[in-house]
Amino acid sequence: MVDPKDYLEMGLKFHGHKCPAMPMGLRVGAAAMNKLGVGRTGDSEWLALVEMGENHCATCFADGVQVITGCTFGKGNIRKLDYGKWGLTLVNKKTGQAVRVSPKAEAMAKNKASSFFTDYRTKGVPPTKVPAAVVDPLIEGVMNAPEAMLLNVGEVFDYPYQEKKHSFESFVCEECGEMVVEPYGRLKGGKKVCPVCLGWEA
Amino acid sequence: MIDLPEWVWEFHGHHCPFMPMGYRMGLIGLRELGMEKVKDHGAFAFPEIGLGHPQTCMADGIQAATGCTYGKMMMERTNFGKIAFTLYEPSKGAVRVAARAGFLADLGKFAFFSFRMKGVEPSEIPEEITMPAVEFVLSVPEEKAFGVEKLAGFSFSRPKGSFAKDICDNCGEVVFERYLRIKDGKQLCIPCSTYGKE
Repeated sequence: MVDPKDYLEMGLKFHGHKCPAMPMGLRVGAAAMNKLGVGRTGDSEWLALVEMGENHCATCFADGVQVITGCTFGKGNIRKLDYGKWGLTLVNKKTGQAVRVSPKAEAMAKNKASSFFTDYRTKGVPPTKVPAAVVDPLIEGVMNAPEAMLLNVGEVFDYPYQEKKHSFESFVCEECGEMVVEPYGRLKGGKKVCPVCLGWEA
Repeated sequence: MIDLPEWVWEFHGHHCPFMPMGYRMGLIGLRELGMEKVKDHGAFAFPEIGLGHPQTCMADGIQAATGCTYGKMMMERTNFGKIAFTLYEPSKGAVRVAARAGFLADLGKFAFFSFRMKGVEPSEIPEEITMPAVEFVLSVPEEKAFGVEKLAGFSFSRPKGSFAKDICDNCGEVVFERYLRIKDGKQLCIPCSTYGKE
């Protein structure tokens, strides 16, 4: 069994500051690994699909997932799904099995309503400037909560792993007039545009 | 030889030469901009890697050294497929650190790579094969290994929050516009487009 507490110290060193989201990533990652019956990967046998997007709070979650699962950005086996959620689907590429784990809404809401967010983070105070007396109990809470109170752990399901298929569909960007592959297309004021014309490094 | 903390190896998960190369590049970037490891937010690291080539491990070394982590939204790959990265902090500017071609050619002669090319996973390669390549990366003189260049006028910012939203043509639910995707001419939310799913 993978114990998230064994990874908290490494997580804090890697992540750089104390917050509740990184530990939540440790808990979610551990639950997924234990459900699949796998340990930490040193190579890239597992794939971590994190549902977070950009520009929202608690993306630090993904650092916890990197630390505990060993699915790292450098090894290329952690990917964002851009749903703006905190679920994790952990895939065992070898066996074609996967499990989805997500933090319970009540647990996330409880953290969000805490002084760490309401008195400090939403007012622009960086995490390292938040007093330990405020953030430590939050971390303790996440690390020690019974799994059934903290997480929804799904059943193992089949996930035949295959590399993404190449897309042959494309369209002409309505701003620059250049061709762009459909999955990279974006909407801007109702016009179909390429990511560059959206002004966003997508 | 550059001192690489044990926890960084543990984080990465296996021994290889590119993670320590990234760690070293990260330290150079911090030094050039006069910065310490970034514990909060505010800086960005842009490794010029893509996906599906073995040098990408470099990005884990950069994450660990600079504190510009994937989770904190401080790291983006440029998909150039190059062994270089740019460190940017708005108040201190930007610096690009790139591995020199001669250094990479010398590194390529180590036996580690003949194992990798045969498809052996890094953790299954004997330490006596891997560690000479690692030690080479951590001890080669900096000026021989890396080109360092300050980038005047470099800037980057995250997109501003958007209030524009529209309806998915399939499920009829409301989606923030930048999350809508285009498929077969229709505008769809990510789950309906199936694009987000691997």
